[in-house]
Amino acid sequence: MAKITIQNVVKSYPAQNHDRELVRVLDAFTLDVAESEFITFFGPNGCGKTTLLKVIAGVEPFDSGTVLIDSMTPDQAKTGLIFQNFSDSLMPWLNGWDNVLFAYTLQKRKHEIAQARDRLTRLLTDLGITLPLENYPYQMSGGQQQFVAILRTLIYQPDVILMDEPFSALDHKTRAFMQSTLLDIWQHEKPTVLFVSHDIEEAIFLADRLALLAPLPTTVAATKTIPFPRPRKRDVLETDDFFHLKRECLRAVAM
Amino acid sequence: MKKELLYGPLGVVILWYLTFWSRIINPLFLPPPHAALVEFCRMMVTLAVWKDIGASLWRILAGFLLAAVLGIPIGLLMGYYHKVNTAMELVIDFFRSLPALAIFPMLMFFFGIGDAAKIATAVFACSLIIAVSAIYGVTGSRKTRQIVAFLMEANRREIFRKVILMDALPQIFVGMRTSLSLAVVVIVVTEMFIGTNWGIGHRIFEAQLTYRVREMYAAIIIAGLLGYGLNKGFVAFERKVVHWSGK
Repeated sequence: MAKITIQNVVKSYPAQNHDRELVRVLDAFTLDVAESEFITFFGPNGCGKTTLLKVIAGVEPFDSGTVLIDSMTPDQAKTGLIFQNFSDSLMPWLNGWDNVLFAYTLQKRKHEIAQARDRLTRLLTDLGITLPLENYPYQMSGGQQQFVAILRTLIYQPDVILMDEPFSALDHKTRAFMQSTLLDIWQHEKPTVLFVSHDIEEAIFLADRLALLAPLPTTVAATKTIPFPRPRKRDVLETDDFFHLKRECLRAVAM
Repeated sequence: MKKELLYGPLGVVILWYLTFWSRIINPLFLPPPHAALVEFCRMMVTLAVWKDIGASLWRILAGFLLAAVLGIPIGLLMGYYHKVNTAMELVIDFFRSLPALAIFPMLMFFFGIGDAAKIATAVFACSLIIAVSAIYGVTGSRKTRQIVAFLMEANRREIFRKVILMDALPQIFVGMRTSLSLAVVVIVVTEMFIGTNWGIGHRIFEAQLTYRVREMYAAIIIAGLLGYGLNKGFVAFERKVVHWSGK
C-alpha cells in the first residue's frame, strides 16, 4: 500500500472581496506516494502548492476527498513542514542546538532528548556537515538557518517531510549546495519527501518522481519518473538527457 | 567614544549661556550653567538629596514593577483570547487616552496623601501601556512558528509558553521601556503635591516656591539624570534578555 494516498481532494477559499464567491484551489487532486519516495511538485506561482502541503500537514481543512498517511488522517499522522521563510519559522530566542532539538523540549518527547542529541551528532559527522549550532539564527547565514530548520524536522522523524520552496530565498551557490546536501541527507535517512519548487531544474534534480501541476484549480497535469541514477551528482544537470527532460516538462505545463 | 557625541550637550550649554547673557530671561530665574553645576556638586554631597533620590526611585520602581505584574498578564490574555480583547477594547482605549495625572486627585481620596496614591497613579499609567504592547506582541506572533510547534505535537500550553510568549517578549519590553520613562514623569510630578516629604519632584517644587533658583536647576538636572540612568539601565537589561530583538 502507498505511504501517502491523496484522493479527489477538493479545497475552496472564499474569494478576496467577495463574501459568497468561492475560489477552488484544489480540484480532485489525486496522487499516491511510496515509502521513502522523493516527490517534487512543479507548477506556476499561486497554483495552490502551499495549500496542498498544508492540507497534507493537517493544518488546513479541506472540503472533500481523502488524505491518508500510513492509513492515518493528516491530523493523526506525524508530519513536518519546512517553510521558504526560515527566519519566520526558526525560534530566534534559541540557539542552533535548541532549535534543532525543539521537539525534544516538549512534554511528549522530553525523555528522548539525550538519544536525539546523539543521533544528531552522528548524522552531522556521517554527512560531514559543520554547522555553528551554538550560534543564534541571526548569527547564521540564510543557508545555515534553513539547514537548522531541515535538521529540526528530520530529527523528530515525521512520517512525511513537506518542503515549501525551502531554497528559493537563497542565492544560487548556496541553493546548489543545499540541494546536494539535502540529497545526501535523504540518501542517509530515506524519509518520504514532498518538495514544492518553482525551479524546474531543482524539481528534476532532486526527485524520484516529478508532479507537474496545472494552474488553478490545481490538479496533477502529469507525473514524470526521473530516470537519473542515485546518488546524483550535479554533473547530471549538464547532460543532454537532463536538458531534454527539462524541455519536455516545461512543454507539459505550458499547455 | 565618538567625539560627535559631545556636540549636542555642548550646544545646549552654549545656548544656555547665550540665553543667560542676552537677558531674555530675568537672570534672577536663570543662573548661568556653571552656577547650576556648582550647586549640583554641592547638593550631591548632602545626605538629604540621596534621601530624595531614594524616595523617588522606590516609588518609580514600585509603580513600574506593579504595572508590569498587572499589565503583562492582562495583555497576554487579551492578545490570546479574541473575545477578551473585544470586551476590554473600549475600556483600555478610554483609559489609555486619559492623562494619568488627571486621576491622581481621585487616587489621593482612595489611598491618602502618602506613597500609595503616587505609586497607584504610575501603575495606572504604565500598566495600560504594557498591556497594549503585550497584546500587540501576542497578535504579532508568527503563525509559522506556531504551526511548527503544533506539528511537533506541542500542546496548547507549550505553544503559548514556548512560542507565543517568547515571540511577544520583544514587544513587551518596548512597552516596559516606554512605561519606565512615563513612571519617572508621573512620580516626579505627583511628588509636587501636598503630603510629600522626600522626593526629587518635591525638591524641585520647594526650591521654586522659596526662590532657591540654583537649587531648583540642580534638582532638575538630578531628575533628568535619574530618568536617563533608568532608561539606559533598562535598555542594557533588555538587550540581554531579548537579544534577538530587531535582528
